[in-house]
Amino acid sequence: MKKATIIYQSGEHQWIALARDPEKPNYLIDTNEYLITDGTTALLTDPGGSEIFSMVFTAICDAYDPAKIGALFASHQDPDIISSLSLWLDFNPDLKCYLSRLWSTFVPHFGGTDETFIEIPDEGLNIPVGSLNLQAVPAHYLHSSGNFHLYDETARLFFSGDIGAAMLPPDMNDLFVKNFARHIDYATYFHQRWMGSKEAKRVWCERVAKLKIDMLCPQHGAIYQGADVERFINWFDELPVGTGLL
Amino acid sequence: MNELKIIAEINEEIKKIIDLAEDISLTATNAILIARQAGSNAVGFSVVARELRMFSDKIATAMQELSQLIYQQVSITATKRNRLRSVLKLNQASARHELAQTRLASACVRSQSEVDEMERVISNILKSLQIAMKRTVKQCASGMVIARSAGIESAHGGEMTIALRQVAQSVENVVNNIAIRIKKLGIQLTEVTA
Repeated sequence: MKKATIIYQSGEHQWIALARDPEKPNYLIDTNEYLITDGTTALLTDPGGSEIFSMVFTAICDAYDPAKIGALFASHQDPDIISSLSLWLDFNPDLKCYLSRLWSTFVPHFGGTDETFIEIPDEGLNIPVGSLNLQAVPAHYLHSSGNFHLYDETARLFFSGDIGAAMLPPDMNDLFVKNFARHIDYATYFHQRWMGSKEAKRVWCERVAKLKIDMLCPQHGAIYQGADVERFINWFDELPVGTGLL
Repeated sequence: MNELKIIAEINEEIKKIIDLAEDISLTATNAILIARQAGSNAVGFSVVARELRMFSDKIATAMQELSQLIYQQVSITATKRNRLRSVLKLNQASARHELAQTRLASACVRSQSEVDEMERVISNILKSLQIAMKRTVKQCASGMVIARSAGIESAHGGEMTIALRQVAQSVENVVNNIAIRIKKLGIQLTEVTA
């Protein structure tokens, strides 16, 4: 089962990371989900694929009452991001799902109706979660053409979707990056291949460098914290990616 | 073999039977023209050829009806498979945690009842398929009788006897082919309903 770890807490305001499932079959990419709550309600980022629904749901049950989850946030349209949607809607048909306007007619193939989706315009959106106010930050073409990250200004935590992802070997199972130099080797190929545009990358780096971020939380791999956040942004800014490698 | 695969094969068989029915229609039209050339000697053959054309229309209609039922069957079977997968995933989550069991209880019941309802609908479609199939088998038996009559009537074709016999033989072959395929279709449908 995935492990639920509280990575931020201030009163009832929490970020709970759901990660590292030892039972996950190797043919499925490992994913991190983050539950962001103000105590009364919660939003779940990139809830994952249908194959891991039971692992995610039960990990949440360890730390939080899933009945309080009011919204899902899909950074983009991939199956490892949101193909569990129909199962979440079986659980609670009133759940809302925030996602790029580009995918609002694609993702319903996984489930949901026009009542389910709240489209995020290209420039981003403020997303209320109870008393919290999260910001959907544009990250288009990194790697999806309609792509968003999520910033919690109060907690200074940033959900970075596929940016920051690393395909880590089994002996590097820590939730947080421990050794940036070693860690980044496992992130290089992923970013070079999955991130399509150096122009989009530059825009993202400039945008995110202005935010106050204590933790950068990717959907795959380990969480960057403290100085490793800036280290990562600088590394990414310098990295040749996507069409620049052709 | 899974039911969707059998249904896809059944659909292919239906398409072949519709093609054969069209062949009969064309052959029967040809037979009517030849019978006209043969004059009053071939009046009987002409009547039989018209019966064959009606038989061809009936078979084509029957196949379209089967095809529609099969389409409904495919649609609901695919949805049921999807829902069954959801039931499985929801039950897996329920079995792993006490709170998950509580929170997912109504979703599990709802999903299972949806599956039960779909199975009821599938069962009704299968009954309709069986009824339609029995009717088609009877129509096919009539078609074989008509085809044999064509063979008998061709003997009265005077100068056109040889041409009419060839047409009658051709019709009989196609009708026999349809009969074989309909028999195969019946077996395939039994596999689905089993």
